[in-house]
Amino acid sequence: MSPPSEFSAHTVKSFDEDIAQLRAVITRMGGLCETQIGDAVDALVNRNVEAARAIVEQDLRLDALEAEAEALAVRIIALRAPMADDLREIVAALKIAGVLERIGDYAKNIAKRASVVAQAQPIGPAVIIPEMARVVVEIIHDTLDAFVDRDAAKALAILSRDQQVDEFYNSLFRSLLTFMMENPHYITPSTHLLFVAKNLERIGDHATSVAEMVHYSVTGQRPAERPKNDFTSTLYSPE
Amino acid sequence: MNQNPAIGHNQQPKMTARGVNVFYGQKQAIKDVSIDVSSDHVTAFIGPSGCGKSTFLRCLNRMNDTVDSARVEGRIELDSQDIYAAAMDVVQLRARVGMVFQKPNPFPKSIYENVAYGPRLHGLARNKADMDAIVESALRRAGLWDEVKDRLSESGTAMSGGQQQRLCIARAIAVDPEVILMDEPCSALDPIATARIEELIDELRGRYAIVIVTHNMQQAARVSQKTAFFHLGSLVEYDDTSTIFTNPRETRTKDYITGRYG
Repeated sequence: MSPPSEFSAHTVKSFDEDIAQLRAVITRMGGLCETQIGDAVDALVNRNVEAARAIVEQDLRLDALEAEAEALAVRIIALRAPMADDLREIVAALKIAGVLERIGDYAKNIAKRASVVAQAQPIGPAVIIPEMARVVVEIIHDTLDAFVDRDAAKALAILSRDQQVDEFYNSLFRSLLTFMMENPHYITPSTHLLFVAKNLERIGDHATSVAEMVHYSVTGQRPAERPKNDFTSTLYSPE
Repeated sequence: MNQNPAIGHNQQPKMTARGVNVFYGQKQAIKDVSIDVSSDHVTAFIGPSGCGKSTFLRCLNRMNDTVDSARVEGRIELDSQDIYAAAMDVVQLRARVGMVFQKPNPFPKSIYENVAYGPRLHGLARNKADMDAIVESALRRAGLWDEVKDRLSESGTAMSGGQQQRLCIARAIAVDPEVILMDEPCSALDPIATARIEELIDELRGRYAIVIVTHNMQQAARVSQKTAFFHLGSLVEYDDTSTIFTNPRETRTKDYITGRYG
């Protein structure tokens, strides 16, 4: 009997192939999410309505990949009866696919708003958005790396980074409120930008929950409650 | 791993084993195994072939006494009584700790006589009416009564494999045991007959302490509440079944249940 090891192959090789295939689908979804968010924010900043439309269409690919991940996971559960860390990983993959599809919806929504924002005067606070998007994309990227490498420490390190996203959101929330108060003419684009920022904040939250799933999948333990920094739900007026 | 916090903290365990070693001649088959078995739940022993799970199961009713080269060390208690003590009546012990084997092994006698054999041996019935009641009750508990009540005089060996195995379970429970040991009770049965035995095990749970040895990990996951993983004669891990199958502590357990060796 071979000595046990952490990542040794299954006796039935096609089981490993099934799991590899599922991981590949999740990785492709993650990559597509990163591209969609980056492109949506580019379209917003560059006021590119054509590009925004293309992003909305690309979202269908994420939906299809989610369906593929779900079919694969269900098939593995039915045919392989996975146990222990295999079982946890497959359940995590199933949930992660759902979350990534949702992240894609937020990116799509940013692209839709880009078309509206393009019709109004550019406004100052918008410059924070690409920076916020960059942090969010990095979180998704590193989370998916942690998933592929089964790296619990890496997943855990990601959790605190969502606070940066929350801080960006707080800051943008305040400045957009001030902006709207000073000039009611900007209420329409400001409101859309507020939703864009909210979408990015939601994406950050979802990506962080994926990191939690990765941690659970690898260790069997849920990480402790993570810190949150989004105070806007209790904010009455900008100070 | 000797003292596990998951072992019998609710109530007095039905059976306890401490520091058990088993040798077949020079070869050591069981190494320092300590475990508690409770009446509250079904306990499954799993592990690859030759890991000692069946050998250990057979220690619990001294079935290894029948193997000349076998030598058992350590202490095994039933209700705090040493079952290897000189004063222990082995026939009585095996009535209290019954056993069901891998292949159904009904006696070549009628269905009725198969069930009545044990109670008669132990003088549990005063008359024919008593015996009829014992036989009916055992067949009912084994989920077999409705299928055989009109043909109790037919031979037990003429039944289907699944029925034969339930007949063997009826035979084991007819003497009102406290513990039932099952050594791969479904490995010779088809999925439907297997499901009926599993359902029966679930119904018997709580009434008897049940210990089942199985190669089928899905079966262990389905029928047991506690699972013990044996490897190379040692007890590697013993915990709640749900923990063993979702988040085992030991790498050896994990590699076995996920199909990475064995």
